[in-house]
Amino acid sequence: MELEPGGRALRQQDLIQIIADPVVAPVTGAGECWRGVANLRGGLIGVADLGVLLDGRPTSGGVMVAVTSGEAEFGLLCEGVRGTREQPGPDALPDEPLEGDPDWLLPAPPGEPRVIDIELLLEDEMMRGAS
Amino acid sequence: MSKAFRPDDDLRRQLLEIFAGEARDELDTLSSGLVALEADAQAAVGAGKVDEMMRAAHSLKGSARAVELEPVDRISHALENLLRAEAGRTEVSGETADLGYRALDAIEAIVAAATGGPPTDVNVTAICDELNEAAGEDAATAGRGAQEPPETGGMPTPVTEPAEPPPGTAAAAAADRSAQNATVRVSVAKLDRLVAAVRELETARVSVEHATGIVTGEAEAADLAAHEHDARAGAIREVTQGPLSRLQRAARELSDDVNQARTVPLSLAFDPLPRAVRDLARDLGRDVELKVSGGEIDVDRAVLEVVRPALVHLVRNAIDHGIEPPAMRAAAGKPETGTLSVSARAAGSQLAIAIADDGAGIDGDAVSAKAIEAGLVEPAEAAQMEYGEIIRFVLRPAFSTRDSVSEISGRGVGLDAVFEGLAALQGSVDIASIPGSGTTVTLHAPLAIAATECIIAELGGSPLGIVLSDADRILRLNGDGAREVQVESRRVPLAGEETMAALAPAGHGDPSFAIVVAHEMRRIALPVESVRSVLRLNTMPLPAPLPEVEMVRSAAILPDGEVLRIVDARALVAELPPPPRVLLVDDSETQLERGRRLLVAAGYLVETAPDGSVALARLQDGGIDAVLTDFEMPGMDGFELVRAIRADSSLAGTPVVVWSASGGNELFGMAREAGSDAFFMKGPNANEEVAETLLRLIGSRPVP
Repeated sequence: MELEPGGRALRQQDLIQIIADPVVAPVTGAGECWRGVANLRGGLIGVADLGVLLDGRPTSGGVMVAVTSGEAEFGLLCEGVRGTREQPGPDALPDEPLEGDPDWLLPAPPGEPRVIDIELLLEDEMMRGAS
Repeated sequence: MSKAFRPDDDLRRQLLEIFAGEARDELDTLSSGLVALEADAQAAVGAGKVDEMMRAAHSLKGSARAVELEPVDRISHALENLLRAEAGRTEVSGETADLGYRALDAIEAIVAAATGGPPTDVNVTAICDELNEAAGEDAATAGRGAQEPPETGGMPTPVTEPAEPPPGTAAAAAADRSAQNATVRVSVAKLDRLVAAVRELETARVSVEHATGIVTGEAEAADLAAHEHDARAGAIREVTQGPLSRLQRAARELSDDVNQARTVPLSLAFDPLPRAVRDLARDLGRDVELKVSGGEIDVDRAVLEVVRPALVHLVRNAIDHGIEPPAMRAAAGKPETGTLSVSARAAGSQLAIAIADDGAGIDGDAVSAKAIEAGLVEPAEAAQMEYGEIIRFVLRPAFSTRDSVSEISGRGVGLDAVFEGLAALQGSVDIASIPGSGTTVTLHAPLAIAATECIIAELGGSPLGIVLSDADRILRLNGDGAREVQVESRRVPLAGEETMAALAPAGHGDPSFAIVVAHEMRRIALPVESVRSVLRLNTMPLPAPLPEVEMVRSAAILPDGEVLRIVDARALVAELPPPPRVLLVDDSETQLERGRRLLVAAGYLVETAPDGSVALARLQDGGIDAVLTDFEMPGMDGFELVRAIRADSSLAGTPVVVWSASGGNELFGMAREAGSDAFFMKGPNANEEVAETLLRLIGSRPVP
């Protein structure tokens, strides 16, 4: 699933639901990337801002992709969803991650969107509460 | 050939889990019975303790056979023999009690190993032999009955019921009570599933109420002729109200029953404490008196599951690290017997359990050095930290100031798990210590984790919830910009800008109302734009991986699908100054404890002193907001203390209340002449007035 504005993608198996114009109840103090909590199918999920996680700039757009890894479920706010596409196999991936990028952004061949590894994203310091 | 009934692995696992829960209850009964027997065998026998214990041992034996846990069967049998022998004795030796405890420990270890815990190398035969020897039986024959069950032709071994107790005995009364209160053990997991189903039903109920309101409202708002309007609205009401009322009633009753089924008395968490204190005090050569209160408070099972091991751990820590050996206490002018109190109180939606010892307090320098060594803090930063901040390091995982591993409290292993469990319930831990006087650790947890009545307000365009039991009142603001509101005779401050920014990060409109939130004795007013309604909602902790946030620890889904953030009352009042600190002076330990409980219940921080001279020395160290003193004390009495306070220019303004078991105009006049601000006769009628008077006298602050 490729995300707007392009260049980033999620694996289909990590995706729970896509919600347009989500209503996020603000919760502050959890860390800079966390925007609050939202209703997902009658339960609560925390919502993080992908823009802040990627380059520190809050997302202005209005789509929340609810994702899962293990028992964890949370929402990622992003500009939008571009559509689905096939991911090249492991042989097509470059050997080394790009310098300066977070660990959770997996390497990809030139021109291909880079996949967000949700399990690794959960280990990111910002997701764990650092500002 | 007949074949014995053999449960398959899955069934046996399930049976063992049920047995483990039952065994824990029976072991608690046996453990508290042993404590009572050792303390006063005659009184314990008179109170039916031995009968209760024999019944517990017998049940344990029967249940162990049912799950084919032969070692537990054998030990329980031998323990029952010992108890039968002890029933006729007037004294139970420490050695016999130790033997009993060893047997209970062995059973606990075997049950744990059988249910997935660590393996155990308990020598069952040796324990049975010791028990039977102590019971005066021939070990070789007495143990055989359980060790080698008789041939039953392949049929399941029958469990022999004990003979009916004679009518009129304590055992008979216990049996009657047991029959009247017949219960079925249900696993917490099953209850959780039931709660989840009820939560869905409640959510559906609220949504149906909401939808019905919209439909009825639309009919009433439609531009219809009067008779047509009445007829249509009436028809809608007729169709919807009956079923809705039945749904509301059924959902409410089911929700109440399920929530009630999750509720247990907190005393279950106190059961293991007497044994833990007794064992540890003996091992470490301490003399400790344990006082518990608040066991009658009902809490959710999930809270109990977390609090129970936490209390055992903290009580052990208090004896190991806090309470000094008798000789050291005597040299410090303290009673040789240390006091360890575990007191619980419910405040609004919250439970607070204070574990307080009168030991040596925490050595701030040692904690600081250890924290630096462990890399938890830089030396320069540590040098700037207050004592109260430094001692919080002891709550960090794997922190210990001991140079060698203690067999008793370890290196903090386990405490971090305890605090993680508490955090998962949106609870927290506080610690306070006074060097030389003692340490108090306070656990905070919600009382209930299911349906809660909430005030639904609006702030910054988002709904915001206050748990109804945390709210004192709702006031309309007159828009004059005042930073406080008047509540009866008290001035209550409005929440500060930092709090408002945390709750409404995108800003907020002019507030029209203030919700006065009370936690313990502190009150704060939260300005809100509007107040919508009060709803009964199923609240949920904020979900992981969202990191913990102090101001908002839980939330709920409103009927229209919006998320309601619920403000944590404790975090809200945290911006206020700490509660006043009162020095309680009395030579009677009982009166000190009663006074301490009274003041703690009213929300004060309390320090104690056994006479006027100790009190005066403590006052000179600073930090005391008021004094509550007895009149008659050895050495410097209460009136002398008041005169000394008034004569000291740095203390002269300290409010002093004198209370005494004696009354009369003469004493009243003497108290006034000495310079006391108020005089009361001790007794339950004065309690509230004493607390209120202290607050009024301290009241230069605008809170609470």
